[in-house]
Amino acid sequence: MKKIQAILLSLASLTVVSTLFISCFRFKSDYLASLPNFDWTQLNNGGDGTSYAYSYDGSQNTVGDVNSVELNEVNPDNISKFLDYSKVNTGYQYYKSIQKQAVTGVPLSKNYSFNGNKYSDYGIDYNSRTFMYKNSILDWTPNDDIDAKYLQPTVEEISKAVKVANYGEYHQDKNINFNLLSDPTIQHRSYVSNGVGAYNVYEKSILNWQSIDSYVNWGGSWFEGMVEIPNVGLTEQAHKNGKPIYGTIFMSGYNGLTRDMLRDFIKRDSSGNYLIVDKLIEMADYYGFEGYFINNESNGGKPNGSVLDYNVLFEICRQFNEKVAASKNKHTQKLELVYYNSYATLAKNSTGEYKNNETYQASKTGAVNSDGTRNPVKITLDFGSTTESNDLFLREHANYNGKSNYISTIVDVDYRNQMPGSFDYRTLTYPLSKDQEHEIDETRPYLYSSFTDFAGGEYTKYAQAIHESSKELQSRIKSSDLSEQVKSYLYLQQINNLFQNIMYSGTNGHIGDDKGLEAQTLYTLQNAKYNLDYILLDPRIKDKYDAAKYADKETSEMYQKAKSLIYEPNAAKNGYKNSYGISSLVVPTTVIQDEDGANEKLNFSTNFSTGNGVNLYNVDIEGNQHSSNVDGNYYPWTNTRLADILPTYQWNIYEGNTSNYGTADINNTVQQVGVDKLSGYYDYNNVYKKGNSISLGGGFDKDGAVVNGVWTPGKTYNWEIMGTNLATNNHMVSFVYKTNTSEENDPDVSLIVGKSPQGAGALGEEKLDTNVSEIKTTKTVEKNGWTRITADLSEVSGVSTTNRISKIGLAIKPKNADFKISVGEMTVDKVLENKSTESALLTNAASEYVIKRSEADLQKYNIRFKWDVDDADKVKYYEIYYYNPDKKIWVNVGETTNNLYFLKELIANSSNKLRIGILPYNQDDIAEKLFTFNVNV
Amino acid sequence: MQLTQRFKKVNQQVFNKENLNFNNFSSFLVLIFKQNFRNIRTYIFCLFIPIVLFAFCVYIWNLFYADYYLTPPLIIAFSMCGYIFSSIYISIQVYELKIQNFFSRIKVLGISKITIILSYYILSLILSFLVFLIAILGLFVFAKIRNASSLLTITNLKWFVWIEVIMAYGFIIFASLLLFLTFSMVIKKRAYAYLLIFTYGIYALVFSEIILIPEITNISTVLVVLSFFSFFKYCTWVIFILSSYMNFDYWGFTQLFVKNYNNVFVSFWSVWVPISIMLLLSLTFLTLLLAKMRFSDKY
Repeated sequence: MKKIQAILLSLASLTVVSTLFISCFRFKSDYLASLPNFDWTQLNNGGDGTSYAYSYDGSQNTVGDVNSVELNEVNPDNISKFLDYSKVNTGYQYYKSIQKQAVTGVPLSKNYSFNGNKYSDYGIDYNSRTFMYKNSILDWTPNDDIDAKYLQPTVEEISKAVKVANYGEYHQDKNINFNLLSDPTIQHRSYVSNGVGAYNVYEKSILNWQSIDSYVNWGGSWFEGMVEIPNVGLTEQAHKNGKPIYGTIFMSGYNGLTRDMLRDFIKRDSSGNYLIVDKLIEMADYYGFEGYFINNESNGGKPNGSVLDYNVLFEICRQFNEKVAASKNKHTQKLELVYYNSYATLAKNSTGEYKNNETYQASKTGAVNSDGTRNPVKITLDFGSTTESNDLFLREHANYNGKSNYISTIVDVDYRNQMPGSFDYRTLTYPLSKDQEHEIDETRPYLYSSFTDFAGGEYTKYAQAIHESSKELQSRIKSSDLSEQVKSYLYLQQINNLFQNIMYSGTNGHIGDDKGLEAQTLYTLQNAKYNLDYILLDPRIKDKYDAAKYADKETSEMYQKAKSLIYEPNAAKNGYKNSYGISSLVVPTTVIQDEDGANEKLNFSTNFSTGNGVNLYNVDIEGNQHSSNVDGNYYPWTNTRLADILPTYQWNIYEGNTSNYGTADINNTVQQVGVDKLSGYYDYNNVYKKGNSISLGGGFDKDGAVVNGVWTPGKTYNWEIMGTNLATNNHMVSFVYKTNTSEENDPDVSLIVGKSPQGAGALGEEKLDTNVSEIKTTKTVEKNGWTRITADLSEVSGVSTTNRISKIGLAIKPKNADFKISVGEMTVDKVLENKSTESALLTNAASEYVIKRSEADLQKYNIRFKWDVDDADKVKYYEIYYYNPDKKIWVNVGETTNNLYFLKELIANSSNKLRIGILPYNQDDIAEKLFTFNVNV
Repeated sequence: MQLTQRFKKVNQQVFNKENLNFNNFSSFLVLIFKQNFRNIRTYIFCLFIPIVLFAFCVYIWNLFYADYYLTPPLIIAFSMCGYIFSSIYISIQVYELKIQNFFSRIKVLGISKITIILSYYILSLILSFLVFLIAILGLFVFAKIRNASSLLTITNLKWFVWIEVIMAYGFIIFASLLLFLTFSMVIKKRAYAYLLIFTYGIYALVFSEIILIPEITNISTVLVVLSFFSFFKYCTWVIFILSSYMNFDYWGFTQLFVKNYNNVFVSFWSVWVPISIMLLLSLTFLTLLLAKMRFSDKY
């Protein structure tokens, strides 16, 4: 007995003592401190992919000859080896984002998870916090998130864009809308991109905003964050082009979403208001985008409510729409939701009930107006939905009448090879006629349907295919020689650009009377691994990597099939049969319009920048060009904040007889130029300003350089560049161009203007344009070797609100057969003669964080910094410079439109200072002063 | 009562064996084991009902309220409901034996108070841990088969926490038995004794945050205050703190407030407060019990 008592007492004592002992310990994590340095040279881990950072080999300043103004000395608020998340907050971060951001401090693009982060994402794997979250979306405020300010667009207002005056181009239909739903980056993850750009030219640039009615920044996942905020550069680009851009709320039970992950999505206050609604509105307002695409696949094929009851979601949508409708805030008033659920359809079954009640219920979540009517809701139907299936719904719901952009069907261009340039989109937008043709049904005009292109990987897959498979290309990319890396990536970028344009223009590079293929036919071109076939087949890609290796492919069945279906020439049009692009169907829009006033001066200019380049150029008002291309060095960059308005009719090139030029006959005798001879390209090696020009050439080589085209001397080539909608002619237009011919062979270049009745051209009518004519121009050769050609549109007579200027472009009359012409700038009403704007004054440099890392006996510094500007409107953009202490020169290391920036892997001078310079360009492209400051590290 | 009669019957069987030494702890233990484990009511009241209650709690909180996770402290708390049932069951049994002068008879044979208390403690220990084991293992197997991640959270507990929890639970069972045995010994009239035992038992179940999770108790200040009158609340919180790792990192309290941990009332931040209170009260009960423990109902 006593033994038992003794044992029990001993156990009790032991419990108390051991508990006391164990409780003395505290959890501790050194995860963030233990993270390795981030390798920016690796593209596939979210790095830039090049070795540009601190590898500048030149011996001269890239800043040029400007005066400098010394600002205050900066003492950073924080200096540490890693970003201490207990001191600063960057909102929700995917764990890979943390691994990148913790050791660099880089501000990353945003996804938000409803519940927030698990502590283990930050390496705090305490069992006490296993079920605990931080950074719930409901806790987010921009003031607490030090990344948020980096991701705010500087172009908040959406420019006014209208349909071009002549929207009767072949099958173009003003009732058809196209919404692009696309990943913003090549690598599809938010941790890849940031608010400050990258040291690489290779990225997914969006090049055809003229044919895009809205852009859905597709992305998000249960692990990366369900709410994806649009890429800030794309937001700016969309707004410049007059288009709304939407974030994504991605909820998919098919891909891992579970009920517990929606805790803070469905949280309500005591009045029944869903808290997420206010937060979504706040985010859209702060980040300046226009709403959300809701991908509701929450239940993943399981019964409703398994993960999320759709009635809960619809209540959230309804509250969102009602708050937006009742808001006094101008931006909030514009917010929209676009709804999609799996198997979404508005078709009825034989008993008269809607086949998918979920979709139908979604249509009733719009705000109710004071007159009792309900606003329609934008709905995207499932893949393959036909216009006929919506017929009864549209007849029964008057609030959808005339809202052609509200019901969309969807197509996945990534699904089958060459869908981008051959798929007949009319099969999605028009009902089948009695003749089994997809044609307009005039009796049911409301059946015209918009379509959404689920272009997740789409055109980038071709570049990815060659990137992954070519040993030759890979060895160049892995070279320690930056120029080899840059040229290789430029080649990939050109492939990206080419296949993206094919998606809009078709494989033949023209919009016209094309006929594409139905999906079933394209399905026979089965597998993604045959993407290389198209690289081999396309004549615009002049040099093929690993040509010998891939020569065998030319005998393959798939190669031959792709050739016969897609790339067999069509004799009538010098193009390829079965070519069809989105722009063949959608009327393009333009921001060159004067609908707001007859005497309005547009002050429009574009350098056709795609927001990237291999060097950064500028030309001041006196014609002096300066660039980062000193000593032949490269500065590879991507920052879509700097992107411009791109050509409307990108590569519509016609050739005709000179004798007919300037007469009405021109329209009857010209024909399209075969892309094997001449086509349009973004030219990154021949630049006037920013990172590229547009060139007419014959293709591009292994270095991504545009090669000369094949011209026919004596003919006139009409290059229709920009669509317009001008009701008045009191505008001045200029282009800046350059050719690579000898002086005696320099072609005659003149300016052409298309004039047409507003909305000219009936659908299906085959004609090129109305009344394209040459007008009187003046030419000035600038110091930099480029030529400015200027014309006064008042030369064009008969311009009125009913008869408008619809196109502006160039006519080129070659004297030899082998050259290329580049256009570096277009302006409308831009004052070019005098310095007309002031330069900005910068003050108060500051740094909120410096991350200090050791690497191979070197201390490298990553710095977040900002400055004040007296008037942000004075600044077109900033270039950022770093004073290299070893070479004692200023080196170009960044560019932005925002007054804050991040630089990586800098080395301090012997006094432990980083020396940074900011060069603001004013609206006349003049950079008068380099504002410099030292940062004590 | 049938229970008493059955007990008598077992007693007679044991007493009639001449070779048994009743001044012996193990013999008394065997006696009450036979008395209980041959009785179907023991299984119903001390095993079946607590396990059903556990399953009900898991179902309700996982499906209708929590929606998200059932965290380990909550699961452990549900699985601990068995000790209250076994304490009630034993205290009723002891009361019946007391009024039948059973203890007076065995006192003659030299069975001490301590022997009686320890023997019943071991019985309660076995019954309570059986519930605990069946509940935890059953839930684990069920969650594995159904791949229910929200129920597999129990894997968050490290081995040393299991040892802590098991040892603490062992003590809690002892403390609980002391309390209810005190009721049995102190109260004279059967009706009052039964009323007190059952009333406090139910009160303990409801207000000790064993089956009502802390988030529910937090809804009302009244509920919070009432909970402090339950001795078992302190026991529960010892388990809560140990199994949520609050003794290592105070943020462990978020495991007790899954849905919302902002602006909640946390009863104890340190494990030593409820342990101290529990020890103090247990000592009081033990003292009271030993003082008031009579071997007959004739005071």
